[in-house]
Amino acid sequence: MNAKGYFGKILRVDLSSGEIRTEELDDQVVESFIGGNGLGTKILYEETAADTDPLGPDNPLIFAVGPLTGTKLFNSDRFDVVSKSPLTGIYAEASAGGYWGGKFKRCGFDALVVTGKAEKPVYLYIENDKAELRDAGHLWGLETFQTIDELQAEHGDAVKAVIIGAAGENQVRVANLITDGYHGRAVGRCGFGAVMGSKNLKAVAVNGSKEVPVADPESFKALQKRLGPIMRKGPQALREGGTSVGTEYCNEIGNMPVKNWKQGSFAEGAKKLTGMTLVETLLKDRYHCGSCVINCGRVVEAVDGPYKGKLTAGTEYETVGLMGTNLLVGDLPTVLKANQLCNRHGLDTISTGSVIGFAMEAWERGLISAEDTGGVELTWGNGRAVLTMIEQIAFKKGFGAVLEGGVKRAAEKIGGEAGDFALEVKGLEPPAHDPRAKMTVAVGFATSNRGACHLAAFTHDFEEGDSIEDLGLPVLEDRFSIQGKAENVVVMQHLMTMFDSLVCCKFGLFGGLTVGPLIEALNAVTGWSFDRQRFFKTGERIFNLKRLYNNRLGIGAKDDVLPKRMRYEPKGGGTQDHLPPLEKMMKEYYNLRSWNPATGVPEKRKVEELGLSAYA
Amino acid sequence: MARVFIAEPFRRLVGGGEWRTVKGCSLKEVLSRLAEEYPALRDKLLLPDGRPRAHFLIYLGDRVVGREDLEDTPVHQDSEVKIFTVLAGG
Repeated sequence: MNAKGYFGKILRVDLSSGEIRTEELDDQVVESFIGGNGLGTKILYEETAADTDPLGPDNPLIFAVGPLTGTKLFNSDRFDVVSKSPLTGIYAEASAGGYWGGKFKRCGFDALVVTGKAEKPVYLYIENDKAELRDAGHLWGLETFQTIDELQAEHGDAVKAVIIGAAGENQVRVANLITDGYHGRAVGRCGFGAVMGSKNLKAVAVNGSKEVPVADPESFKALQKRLGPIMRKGPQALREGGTSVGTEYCNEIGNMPVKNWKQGSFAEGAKKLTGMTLVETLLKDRYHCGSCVINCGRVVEAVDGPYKGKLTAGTEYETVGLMGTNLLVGDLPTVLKANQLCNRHGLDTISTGSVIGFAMEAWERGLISAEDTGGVELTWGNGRAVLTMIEQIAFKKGFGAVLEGGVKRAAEKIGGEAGDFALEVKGLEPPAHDPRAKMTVAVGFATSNRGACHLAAFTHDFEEGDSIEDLGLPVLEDRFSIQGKAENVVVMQHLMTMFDSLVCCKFGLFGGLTVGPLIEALNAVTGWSFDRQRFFKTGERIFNLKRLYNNRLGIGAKDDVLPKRMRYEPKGGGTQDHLPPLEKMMKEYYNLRSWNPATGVPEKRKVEELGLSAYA
Repeated sequence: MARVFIAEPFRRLVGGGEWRTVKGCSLKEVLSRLAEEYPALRDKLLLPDGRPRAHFLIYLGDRVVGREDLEDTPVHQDSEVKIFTVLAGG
């Protein structure tokens, strides 16, 4: 392989046979699909069929890093995971920070593809070139925090691991992967924990120390030097108050989920849960991922339970939204406990909070009662009930067995009018951003390949005058206007696909890691000469490949929709009763994408233009 | 009177540049004057009723000042006020 920034190797592990082998990665593949998300999508498409069972041995669990991972470029120690989702049954992607991505890359690999199913629980241990499966009998049943303690006791503190908790072991469909132990960075969405659990794989522990090759170290250093002051100064509010620093602002504009997305505002709760309240009350420290100087992570002390006195992850914005305001729980210590419990058991706080919110509305409407819930009163604001439900979901016990499959399945089980207030897109519960508050969010949710997602387009921070200087599009000032919104989403989806393929943290955008510097970094590391057009075209290629994967599963224009409540029910507050005229924006979106508006399938000429004919 | 640091996304609304000198005895007055002098910034900074929006963290020196305390927080000739936008979620 000629390109620098790669080790040119994919590690393949077949858990059924126990075979571990490496496969060469060639230049043509990485120039077209980069790495991370792009490489993962290519492998998923090529190695699965439409009827692949997400929880079956044939579904590959793909961990992939990119050319920038491990180079120490700001915000670049991330990794991406791709598979078929057991929650939605379609394309699944998620990424995480922490330190695992860099450590894995420095083992000398660009991706890890896990297939099959081990006869008994195992974990994969990778130390530089050496990879081996080890018995995980002593780890199975342990919480994620205990598991990292055990792994580090065995292999040393330098080891980093991606771990499943009880939820993953029990193949709960809203289970996630946790990395960096007590700091709880999560591969959150789509139910990857269940995929890993279905393979009897408890953890992937890594410890790499190789140097990532860089083609032009001088240019790379010069870029880092230039970015340093901007990165240390730009994202000041994010450093100060964490990702939940804008909670009151989000409530002010109607962006927060409140009472299962029905209510326009919960100002009192937002004030109690905002990042600045955390700073003033319970914050003990700030946390940063590998190669990052932003420090957006929060560190708090567990006040009770088995980890009393230990420092653990504080709340992120999405958790504040779905576990807090969405449930009318305005008590920060309770939301912190809920967050910690989810991290210990390996549950996605977004989907878990969403499904509990759905259940609370079902309770309010009289569709379920104490008889169904085993006596747990699912009333709004009942923090104790929230904590009980998290436990029950993680172990598929009690009413948790009804909720563990996410909102869509729970609505089908409860029946009646439950589907009317089951909020999901393509089976995935929405994160804490409301399409009634920002029009790009409407198009973004409807068209993200994994279902309702704020990260695939990442436009929500750039619709009130904030802008990415070198994006090349007009600044969006009016969040309710539809002017230019579809185009903005299309371009941002390509840019974000590149972020996920390189793989870098999107918060780097606030510290100067915008389009130009990203291209500079890619060229300096790999030795390529990407220009702006080729950069965006590559993002478009990968985005369309994800779409083609979903098309093969029967997903199309009929699925590019919003939940009924977000489309048709005004909620007041900062949304000013606005509703997103989705169809108008979608017409423009399909046109810009050259997708057939009736089917939502990319047109043949577009497929050919992107070099994807083999996949259509 | 205070020196006010304008965060990157809104510099274009004040004609460029990082710093502005703005009159006012309290932080609230400084913000109001800033909004008066630069009307394009008004909707970004203030709600229709004149209260400051939650879209910003306001620093006086190195200290964050809560929105409810802006009126009672005096500024001096050598005060440095910094205005940073907050994220619309993570």
